Amino acid sequence: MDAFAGMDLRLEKLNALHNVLSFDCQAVYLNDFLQKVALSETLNDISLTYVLVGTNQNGSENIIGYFALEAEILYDREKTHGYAQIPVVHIKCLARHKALRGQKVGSVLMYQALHIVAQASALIGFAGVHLAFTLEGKSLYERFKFGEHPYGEHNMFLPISTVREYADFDTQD
Amino acid sequence: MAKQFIEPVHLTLAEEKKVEGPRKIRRALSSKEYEDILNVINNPPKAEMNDYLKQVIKESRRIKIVV
Repeated sequence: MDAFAGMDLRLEKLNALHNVLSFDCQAVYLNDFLQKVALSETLNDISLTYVLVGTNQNGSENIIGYFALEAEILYDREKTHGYAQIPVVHIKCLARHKALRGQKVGSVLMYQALHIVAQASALIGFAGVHLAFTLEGKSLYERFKFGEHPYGEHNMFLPISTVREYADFDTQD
Repeated sequence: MAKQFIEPVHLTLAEEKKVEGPRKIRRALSSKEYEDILNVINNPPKAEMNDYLKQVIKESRRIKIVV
């Protein structure tokens, strides 16, 4: 973890001062979201994007990863259940800079995202977290116990009680 | 003071065609699918502390949260 280990790290909500154009995770959709959509959605409270900013020893700052969270709801179209809505948090995007591949940056981002979700769950009711995964990211999500989603093969779900367990780990040594 | 609403930006159709990542399908669930996800919620997987996660937590503690 050479490059990552030598950085000072800050997690910040995306703002207009962040240099998003230098970010490249090699996935067009994830680059485009950060560079063209994320700030607008964050300013409008549609989704919130958090950026992990790394400062090198020479003082230069770069976005080394980001994730975006939004609220969604799953519902039973057949309405056979009286209580047929399941509110969830959608991890809309999660990506790390291509230069830091293999250095656990994605896992650190996921851990930070789950921390925020766990904090929100103490104040607002929802049942879990879901996401659509890339093949490259799938193993990362499986490490955090994301499992099958009724939306199908490219989606995964994690119940909120499991998310809270991860947040509790941070209080342990 | 009322918040100023800024028009959201969406990808154009041409940009959408460049998408290489997953395309999320937004749709309602069948009752069977709904029951399946309720079952997962009611039987959640157990988070496991392992060496990998310990390393992730250690790295995460270096992060200054300023949000």
